Amino acid sequence: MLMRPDKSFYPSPRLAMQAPKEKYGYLVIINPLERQKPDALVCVDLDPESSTYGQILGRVDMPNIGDELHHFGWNACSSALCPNTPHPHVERRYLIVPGVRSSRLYILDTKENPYEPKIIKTIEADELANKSGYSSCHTVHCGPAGIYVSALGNAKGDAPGGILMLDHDSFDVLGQWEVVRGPQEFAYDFWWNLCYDVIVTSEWGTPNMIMEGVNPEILLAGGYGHHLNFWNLPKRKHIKAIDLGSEQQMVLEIRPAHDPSKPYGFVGVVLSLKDLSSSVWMWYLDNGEWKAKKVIEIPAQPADPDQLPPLLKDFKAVPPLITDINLSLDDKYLFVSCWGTGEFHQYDVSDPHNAKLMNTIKLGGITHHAAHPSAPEIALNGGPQMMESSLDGKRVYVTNSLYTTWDQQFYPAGIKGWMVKFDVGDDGQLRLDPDFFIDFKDERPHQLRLNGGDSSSDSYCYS
Amino acid sequence: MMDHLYLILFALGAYHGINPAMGWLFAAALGLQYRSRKIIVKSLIALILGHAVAVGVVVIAVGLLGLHLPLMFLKLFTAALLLSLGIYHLFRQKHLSWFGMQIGVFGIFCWSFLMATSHGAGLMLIPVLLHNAAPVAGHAGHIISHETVVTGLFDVGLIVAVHTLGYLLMATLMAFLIYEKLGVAILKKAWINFDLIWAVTLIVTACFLLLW
Repeated sequence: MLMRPDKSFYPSPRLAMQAPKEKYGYLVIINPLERQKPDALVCVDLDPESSTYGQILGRVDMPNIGDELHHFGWNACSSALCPNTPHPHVERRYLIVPGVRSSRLYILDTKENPYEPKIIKTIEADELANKSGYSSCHTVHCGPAGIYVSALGNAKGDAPGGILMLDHDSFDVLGQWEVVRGPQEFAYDFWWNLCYDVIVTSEWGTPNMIMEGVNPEILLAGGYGHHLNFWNLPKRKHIKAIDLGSEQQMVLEIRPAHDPSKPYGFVGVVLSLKDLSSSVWMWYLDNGEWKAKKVIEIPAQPADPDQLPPLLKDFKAVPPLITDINLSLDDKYLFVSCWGTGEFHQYDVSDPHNAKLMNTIKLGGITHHAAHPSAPEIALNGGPQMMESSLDGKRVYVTNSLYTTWDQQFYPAGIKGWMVKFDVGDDGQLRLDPDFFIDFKDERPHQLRLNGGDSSSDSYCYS
Repeated sequence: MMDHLYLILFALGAYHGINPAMGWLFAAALGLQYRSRKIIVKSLIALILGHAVAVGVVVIAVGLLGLHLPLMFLKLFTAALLLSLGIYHLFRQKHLSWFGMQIGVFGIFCWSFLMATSHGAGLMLIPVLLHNAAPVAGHAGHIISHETVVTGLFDVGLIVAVHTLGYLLMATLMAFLIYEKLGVAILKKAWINFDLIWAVTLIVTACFLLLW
């Protein structure tokens, strides 16, 4: 227990933007099943002053094969300073790392050796199912009541998915978060507008609908998730589902405004069945009612069927596939990954109702395979996918793998992993750092977390 | 002796008042969110009432027990409660999680009542009252002089009022200091672990009660 709040906790996003620059980041590395190697958590040197900048400082192999590690998170963060649930003397110390395929949860302690954290606890799928009724953990957030973990399905891999709670001291599974579920069935991401007591959850599909790859029959029938769910956070009760339209398939990353006094946020939708476009929607409070509207639409790009994987040949087009979005801590810039077309977009969302495209940078892509300036000889595959922007909003790190079975469908040649970095200049413009390129070869980097917090790890109760 | 008693009660109130986790931060945060001093005042009133009721309930309960039970038994009973609560707070960083940020004035009252109760705010007054009762134990030493119900209630009222005044002054000062002058940045450095200090205080008090 600390005598003063953990140094990396900040009362407001404005104060967090003045935090020291990140020195290193934790990155999960996935090995597809056929490689018969475990996934790993690696520590990447992100300190430009360091002689090992851009290199791997340490590596922790998981004790099992086939976990498919996904969106891990910290045991505690700035929300511990909230006045209604105060507990700011816990340490930001443990990483909770979920295996979406294995339904395992690993707890790693970063304190003694930050470069090679130690696995101190493993929660197996059986225990998870017994105590929460859920499987396939996906996203981890530290929050007001403890640690929240989203899970894609029930113990059989069917609906409903939801959220489960972990104790932030013992890491025991406390059970299902929901008290009144309402019509919600699918789960994926979640986050909150803390000062409005609302939690917003998104929808992908059940484990059985996604494990073996995207199922074209379900997809064309509009069977994947297309709702945005609103819940009362302290009462754990479903308030409202907004149907974005059954043509809007797979509602993924949830990014609320960081300023807790602003009642809005953004969510990415992977695919529209109408025209293969991808979109970003905004939710907002209008006269006491939560509403949602489309603020960004990115069209599909026509392509020669010969260049397309079997799944897309008939459509003669590449869908952008918005798989991740990230909002800078000042709520000014929204970054959007188009994993299909291999593009990274920057929008000005200072007026959230009117997103303005500022920059598009090409990397990889199903048909383009755009290279990185530091390795022009490598035709990149995969595209910009998971991203993390630094607290000061000046650096954005991006990796290229999505989900092994889906990687295979969209990039049948197999994903070669890479990680790149973008800089946001003083003029606000996004540029690719021509020197930062990490080649992971046959391993697939996924989510990154920066030491001391980043733009999708912490939430705040003060403006 | 009586002067000391009220000074200690006041000081304990002030100590609760200064702890951000006991309420003033809630009032300041709501004030900052809505840019409103009125909300701060309303929240403070709810916080103060919640705290006063939490403390009052314990004082009345122990006072009533004191009418029927020997002082020694009360001492041991209080010491046991203080000790277990102190040890619990020392090892577990439990916090309330049932309340959101939009809970209204009644919600803040309930929050404050539960926070004060779970911290053992009222319980901590008992050793002080017991200590005060001992020397004037003309009749086996009762916490509250109970010549009549009216004077008994008056005693309870005075004890709670003095304690709450300490809480009120400190909480009001802190909430407005943060809102008007300092801002929330100071939390990073100034929010010392009052809960840990409190846990140790509970344990020390329990030991003192057992030895004395």
